[in-house]
Amino acid sequence: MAVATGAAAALALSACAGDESDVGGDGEGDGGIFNMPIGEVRSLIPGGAGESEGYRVIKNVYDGLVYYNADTGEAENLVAEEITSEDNQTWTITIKEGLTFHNGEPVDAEAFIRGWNRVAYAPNSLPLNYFMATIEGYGALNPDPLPEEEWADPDVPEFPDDVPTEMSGLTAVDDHTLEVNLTSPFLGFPTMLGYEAFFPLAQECLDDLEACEARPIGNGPFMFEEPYDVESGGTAVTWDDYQGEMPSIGGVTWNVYLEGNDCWADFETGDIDICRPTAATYESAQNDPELQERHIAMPDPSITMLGLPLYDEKFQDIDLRHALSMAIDREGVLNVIGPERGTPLDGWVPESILGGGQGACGEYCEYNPDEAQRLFDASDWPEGEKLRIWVNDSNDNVDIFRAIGDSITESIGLEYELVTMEWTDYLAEREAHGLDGPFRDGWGPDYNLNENYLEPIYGGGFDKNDNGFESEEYDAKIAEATAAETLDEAVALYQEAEAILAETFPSVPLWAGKINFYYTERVQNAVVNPIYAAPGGDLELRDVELTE
Amino acid sequence: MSELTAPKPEPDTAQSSLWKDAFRTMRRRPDVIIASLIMLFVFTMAAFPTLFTDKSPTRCIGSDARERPDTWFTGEHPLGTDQFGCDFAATLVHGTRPTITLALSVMIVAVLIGMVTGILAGYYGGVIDAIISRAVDVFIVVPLMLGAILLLSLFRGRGAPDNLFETVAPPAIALAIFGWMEFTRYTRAATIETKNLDYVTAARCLGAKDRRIMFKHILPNAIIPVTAVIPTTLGSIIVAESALAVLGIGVQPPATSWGVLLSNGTQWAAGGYIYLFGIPLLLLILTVFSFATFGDALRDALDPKLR
Amino acid sequence: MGRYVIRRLLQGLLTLGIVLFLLHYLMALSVQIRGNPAILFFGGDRTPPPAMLAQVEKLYGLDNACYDRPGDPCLVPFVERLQRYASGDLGTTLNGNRDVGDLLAIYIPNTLRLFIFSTLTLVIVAMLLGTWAARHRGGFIDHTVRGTTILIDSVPVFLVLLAYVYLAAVPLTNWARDIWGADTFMGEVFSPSYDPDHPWTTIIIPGIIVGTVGLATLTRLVRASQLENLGSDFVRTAKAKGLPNMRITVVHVVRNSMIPVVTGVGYIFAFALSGAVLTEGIMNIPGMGRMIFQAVQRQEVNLVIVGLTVTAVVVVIVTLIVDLLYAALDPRIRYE
Repeated sequence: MAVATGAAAALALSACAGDESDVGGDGEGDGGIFNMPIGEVRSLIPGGAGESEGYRVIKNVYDGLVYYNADTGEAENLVAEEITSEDNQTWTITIKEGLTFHNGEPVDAEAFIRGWNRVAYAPNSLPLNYFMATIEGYGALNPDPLPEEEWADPDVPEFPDDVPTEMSGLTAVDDHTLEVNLTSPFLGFPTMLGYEAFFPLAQECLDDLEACEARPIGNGPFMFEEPYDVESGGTAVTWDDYQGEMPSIGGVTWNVYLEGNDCWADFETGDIDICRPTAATYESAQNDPELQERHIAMPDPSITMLGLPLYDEKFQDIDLRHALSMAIDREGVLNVIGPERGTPLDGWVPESILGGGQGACGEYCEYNPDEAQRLFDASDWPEGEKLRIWVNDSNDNVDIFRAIGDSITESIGLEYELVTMEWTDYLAEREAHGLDGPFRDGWGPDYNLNENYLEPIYGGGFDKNDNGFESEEYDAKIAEATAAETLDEAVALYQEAEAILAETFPSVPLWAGKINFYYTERVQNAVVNPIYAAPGGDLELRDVELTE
Repeated sequence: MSELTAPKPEPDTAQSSLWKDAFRTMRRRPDVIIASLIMLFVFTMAAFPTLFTDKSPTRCIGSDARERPDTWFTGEHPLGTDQFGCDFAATLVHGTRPTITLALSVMIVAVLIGMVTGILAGYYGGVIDAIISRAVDVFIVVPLMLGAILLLSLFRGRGAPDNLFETVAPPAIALAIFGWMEFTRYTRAATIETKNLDYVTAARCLGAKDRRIMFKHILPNAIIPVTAVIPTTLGSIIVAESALAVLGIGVQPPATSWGVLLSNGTQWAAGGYIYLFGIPLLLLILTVFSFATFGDALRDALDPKLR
Repeated sequence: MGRYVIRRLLQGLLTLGIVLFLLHYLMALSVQIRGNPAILFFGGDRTPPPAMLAQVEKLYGLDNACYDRPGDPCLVPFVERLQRYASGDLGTTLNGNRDVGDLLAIYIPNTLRLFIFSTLTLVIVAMLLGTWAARHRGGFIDHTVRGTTILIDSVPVFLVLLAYVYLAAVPLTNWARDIWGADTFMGEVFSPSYDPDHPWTTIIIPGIIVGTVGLATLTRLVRASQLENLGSDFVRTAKAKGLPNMRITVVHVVRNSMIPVVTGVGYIFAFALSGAVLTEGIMNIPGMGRMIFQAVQRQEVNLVIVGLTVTAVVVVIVTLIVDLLYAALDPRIRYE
């Protein structure tokens, strides 16, 4: 998941509306153990994971201030009683009374301050550190290193000894009221609070992080009785004293599948309750009438694009950029990588996202080899030069972009060459504008708003974004939208920004993903959160029911 | 090899009769003949792919992907199309050349390194022997696959290979670096055995130069055990290449080799496209099996003690 | 004999020392060429602030200036590393900050289990087939055994595993579970992937499949040595005494032909380690092979060096034991 800072204007409007009340859980949690696949977890202490696999455990073992509704994607109050602000800068959060951690410690304002300060403290080097950047006092916890001449080793920057450990922007007004001061008004603040970075932390956990890493002390409906193991997974059972809506299942076992392995075979033998078929097995899964009834198919807002290097001389001609886009047979490519893995995109924001599905790309995202050939012939592409397509080598990227290259070659006769790079190298090179051809560009949303597909990817001007896209008009429109008063207004303005983007065509939209999960016969009420579902097969553990 | 101990021998005739004997024995074995035919078929495919297919393996149409070979050996796509919509027969035939080139080049490099170090170590002994033997030990304790994985992952180049050499070079170098020790051992043993034979001692007394002794007298003997393991080694290199491909660090797509085909094919086999896995697998097994059978027979023929 | 043992031990130590240094140098080169693996600590999806990066580098001992100079053997970090290993500290991983010693404690038993099953399979099958072939020397059975073992050896073991996992495991498991139930031995044994709750049962099939590596070689060894023994004086004497055939085969022939089997198994061991990488990867077994492969992919410098050193130590020890056993089993062999 990418950075969620920046203005998620007006999302807060809905955040204070819902209140998760304790009505009608229909079991008392004896419904059997749910078997779930999981990838490699980085950490189980809030703020330490920063990836989908850690988050899917943490969000069930912990209760945050808000919880993301699976149907709407909106943040609804969970531990928070109320989140209010007069000026969008000073936020007052009241916490429900009587809540405790698994070990009996109270879940109070201090518990949140404890957790947030730990995440923000630079020497802890936590991956979600930047989530705290909007809070006042973050800067003091993340100071510039000492001047270079004072370092003992010229390559190792040193910090001053007196880095504070607490952010000045956090105050516990009383046990159940937390006041948060931000450095500037930020409407989207409450929507971030369902992220693991903002979860509470028990004192016992802070005192012995190692033990807490293995056996998290949460405040959520599930708790670990035995330590979780990164290699072999672990089982969390429902917590009898949970105050909120009791899950129907008795617990969950996470079975670990690391890269190169997948759960499908184990799903077929019934050892795993939910799984995404591999590209190869999808077709046989779909043709199995029995499985068809236990299929969840829904749009996945993750998108794949072919980024274009606007900083490179060869790609200055917009006709060439259009030609490349029209040369790609998106349906054909999808046929290669596995049927039903995506829906062709006709814009830069997918339909499943608020404000998306505008079709801003229009005819240029339609497969039209003749027109592509005409445009390409008219462009001044150097004779005999191959198109170099850059991809990082993880997952099946190489296959996907090979199919894209094949399609371009077939349509306009332009030969291609795949340049594969290791992920970290690739990121660095891409950021430094070092790629001299189209490159893989994927994006998964942080929250449900079209802004998240526009500002973080193409904003900031020539140097800041990977494409070298620069448009004053665009930046002005984004700024205007960010300052909008209401959500509707903001969404409409962001849509206008998308249209401006289309005029420059900094990337070729390819497709948006599709979630295709299958579940076993014993599973009832399978609900998948479209935005926060982990890729290998995931569902809402708080809602699912099991029949034996 | 007692006939070699004659005081004033004609090593060349003795050698050639050994080879001739071996050839004669092998010619009479039906399994060897079948194996040779398969090897010939594979080598022809590697050398002249266009004899077998007129399709281009790089023309791939996504919407035609995974057409099953319903027509079998005839029609538009004799073996269907692969996952990218390329003609599968063409892919298979054109994938043979990298596979065979890789196997041959690894083998040649490994044999050269092995024979040179083995003869040096065996002939001079002392410090040179100690150094070379230590080097052999060092490389032996890092198993071939692990060593190759280490090298290939650490120094993975970026960029697609342009020609056959660039395609094959990285896995070939990695496999050769961890594959020469066996040949050193065999050569060293044979050298030590030979150098104490009377006729070699005699030659040395008569003032023959070291280099002449090594080439004229020792090499012909040392080459026997080495030759005997070459076919089997070729087979195991092909297997190692496919293992590297399955791990994603061998020959890099879109270049193809049998390993790449197998590694792509396995996942689709589970989805019901068994031909994508089965056909390259059959080809690979047949080839490796013929190399092994041939090698087995060759070893028997060259080393009468084991018969 | 004593001097021989000491010499071999010293040689082994020297080899290990060189291996350690070479590994260190390779990894240093890769850091110098490929860039800093400490970035991985931050998940790789964004560039960390330089100050934080430096801190992490320091944490993992990658802060030495030599890592910026391609070709520098980085001797200082090497010595530091050796000292840490000597004091029993194997370090931690970059990703997840886990103790390498703890990881080994999880991985090694799994790989050992795999090896137990594969070695048992290999030895038993090779002994049976080799003995059988030797007794029917030159006949149809002899040729068939030879052809079959070569064929089995020709099929790459990981492809058999892949085929098993993708095609056979699911139907077999479902079939077995219909008859015996899910939580029984039979219900688990065909499982398509390793299950940490049944560490022995779910490793049997991959173990057996890995056990076919080197079958042809070992069978040939057994056959050859039995032929040698069958023609030997003591067997002739035994026959002359009128001992039953079975007894001659078991007591005199098979026992004496154990020697090449022992050596053969020792040398095949290193190959089996290579096989472990793929096997463990395919079957999702958390073992040494999979660990090393993943560590290399992620530039987990420390993990790679420790992992490969452990395998190197094992190979050295196994080779040593094999040579010593050889000396002990066969009194004809003497060492200077």
